[in-house]
Amino acid sequence: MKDYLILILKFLLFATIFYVGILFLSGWLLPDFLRPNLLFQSSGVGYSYKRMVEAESYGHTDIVFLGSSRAYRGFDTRIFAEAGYRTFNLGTSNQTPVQSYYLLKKYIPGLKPKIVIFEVNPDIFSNDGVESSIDIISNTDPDIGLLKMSLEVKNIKAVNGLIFSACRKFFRLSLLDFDYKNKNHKYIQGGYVESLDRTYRKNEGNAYYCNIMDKQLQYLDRIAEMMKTEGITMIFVQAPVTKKLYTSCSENKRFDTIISSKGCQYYNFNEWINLTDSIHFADGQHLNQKGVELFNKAVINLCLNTTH
Amino acid sequence: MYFNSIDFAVFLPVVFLLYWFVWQKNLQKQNLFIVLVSYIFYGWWDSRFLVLLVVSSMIDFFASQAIFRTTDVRKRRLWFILSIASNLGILGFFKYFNFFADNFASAFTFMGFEFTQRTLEIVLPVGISFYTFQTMSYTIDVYRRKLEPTHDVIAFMAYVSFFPQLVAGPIERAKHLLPQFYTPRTFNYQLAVNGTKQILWGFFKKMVIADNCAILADTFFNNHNAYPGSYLLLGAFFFAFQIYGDFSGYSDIAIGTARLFGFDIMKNFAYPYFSRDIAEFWRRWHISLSTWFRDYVYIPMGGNQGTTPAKLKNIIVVFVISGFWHGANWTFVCWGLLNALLFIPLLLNKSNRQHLDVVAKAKIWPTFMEAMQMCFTFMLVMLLWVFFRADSMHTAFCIIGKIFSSSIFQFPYLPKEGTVALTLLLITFFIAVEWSGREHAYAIEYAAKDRPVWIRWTFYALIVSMTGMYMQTGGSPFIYFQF
Repeated sequence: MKDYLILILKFLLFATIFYVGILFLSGWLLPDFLRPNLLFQSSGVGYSYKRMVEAESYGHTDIVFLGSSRAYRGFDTRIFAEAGYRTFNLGTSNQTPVQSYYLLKKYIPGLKPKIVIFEVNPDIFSNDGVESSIDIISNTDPDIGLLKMSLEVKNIKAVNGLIFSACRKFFRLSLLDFDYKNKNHKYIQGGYVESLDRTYRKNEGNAYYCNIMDKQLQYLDRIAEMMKTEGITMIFVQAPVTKKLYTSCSENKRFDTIISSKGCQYYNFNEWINLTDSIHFADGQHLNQKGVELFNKAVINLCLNTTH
Repeated sequence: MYFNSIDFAVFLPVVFLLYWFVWQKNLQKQNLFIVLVSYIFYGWWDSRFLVLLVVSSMIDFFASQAIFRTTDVRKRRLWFILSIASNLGILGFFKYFNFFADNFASAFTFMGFEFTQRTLEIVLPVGISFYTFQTMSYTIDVYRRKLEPTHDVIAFMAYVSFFPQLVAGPIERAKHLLPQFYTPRTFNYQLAVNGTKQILWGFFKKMVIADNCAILADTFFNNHNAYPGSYLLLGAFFFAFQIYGDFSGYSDIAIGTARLFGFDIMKNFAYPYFSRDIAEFWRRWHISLSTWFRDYVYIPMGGNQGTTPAKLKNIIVVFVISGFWHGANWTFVCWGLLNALLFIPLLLNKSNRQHLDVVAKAKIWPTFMEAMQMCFTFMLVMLLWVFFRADSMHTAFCIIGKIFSSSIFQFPYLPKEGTVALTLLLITFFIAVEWSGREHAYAIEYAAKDRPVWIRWTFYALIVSMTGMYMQTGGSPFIYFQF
């Protein structure tokens, strides 16, 4: 028995080292389709790398925005600056509360906001957070928080991404493209991503998958608790989407009730402002610049003027 | 609890260590421990169904004792019928009630009668067909005086509920497994190492081969109306590997796990896709079920003795029942019947036992003829899997109809071409390993056996790495759990 247990432990050690090696080589050498469980998103879908790097040295802020692409494409730091608020947008692609919790823990000490505005919607609460985890893992240096986040999403892709990221750091190799450019989008200082394309893509993003997950609600509670401890005001906001998309989710009422019960201010802007799909939206769930301006002014008037 | 879950990854080592370090000195307590952990394993899905497991075990335990004690033929038969009827009653209610209710309603409506249909919301207990057949084999063997009933209720409950094979087999015979609960088990290093390797290979089959194939098979079959025959044929190909990887993977994990605990469980698969005819396929596919039907249905009916019509009847009946065992749907009945129709020519031709040995034994490559025979048999089996996979007869015929239409010549423009290419590469690797290990109990049993230890370890580590690199993380359940 003792021999067997020793053999297993030795093999596990060997297999772990072998696995890390194979993973690292695969990340470098294999094309994407031959490494489906190692999705390394160099530079990030929504300029995550630029945003993370900037967040490190941005300094104190009045407001930090959190959430998915609806946050980083929905809260324009320039509009808030005009209103006298120094803000930073920590939104990342498909960010769910699991990732928001990690980002807050990491960046709150440096950004020191007075208010956190969290863009919430049923879609991200129905998401397992894998895509967002990979995005963050790919664009930040690994740490214990990142490990906890990877294990929390319980997906091999997140763990593989973390191993690869750790190897990359260990060998001081960079795969990142800081100057990543997208002809339809422009990164604005403070984390906002502006849509440059003026056409309304009415066929994109027209349906929600609504199945609110308990895990995400638990993390939302943890975030609210953390903000309370830090003395930061937490505001939940649901950014407007097209009517077609909004009505495709059967859980809107339930979602509003859940978020309202968290003891923070909550504004569902689908109910507060009236926008026209073809004029104010870039696609089903993202506002264009015109829409962002209206939305941000409404946020300033409704949320911030009420809060302060 | 699924084998491919984090729960099981914790459960197995904990149970293993407690089993060997805490309970080894007392056989009775060790058996009781097996019962306890097996019930935890089963109750992880739905603890309500543990009652069924206990009831099923107790009925057979006491009925078999009564059968053995009495010399009165009538009483023996009465106890026997009571036991079998109880088992089949439970199985029939949970698995087939709605099927019969639906079909009676359809039949009455068809004949012009008004019929108010009642169906119940019945949840199918996981693995009910497996443990029911296992307990039935015990009672039948006692009734036939081939086995003395046990007086050790704990050993019997452990035999029925032994967690590695409880929910999807192999369906063990009491004569083989039960005595293993009577004798003290000592840890066998070689057996445990072998078991570990078999578990590793089982996980690869399930999580890499089956789960990747499942995505593609589902893509094509779930939207069969949108795809031409060539795509659907590809779907059938992927499903053939999905079901083989899924079920034989489960069996490997089950057998390997049992070995870790010092038990020997019967083989369930013997490289069925390397069969040269359909008879050989059925000697190599789901062996524990095929031999169960052979011993308890086919041979008692007369087997291959008697007149030609009698032989044909026996074959058809056993295949149809076997199909129906898989699920309460006409598609399974049809699948069984079609297999019988493919088997019958071999039986009539007396060539059904032509290929008893492993193909191309002690050779690297098969002959051209053997290769053609294997390809042809695989094609037949693959087409029949369409009935197994389809949710209705209409769907099955639609798919088969498209496969045999001119659209079969339409070159597939693949919706997930990267995934298709990767899955085909994985299948190629899988076939190569299975082919090289086809003379052994499982493919990697003696992989790289004459090589230095670091080469062997590298090979095993490669399988671990491929599992991590290519597994699907959805945690999909095993197909055969639904049976």
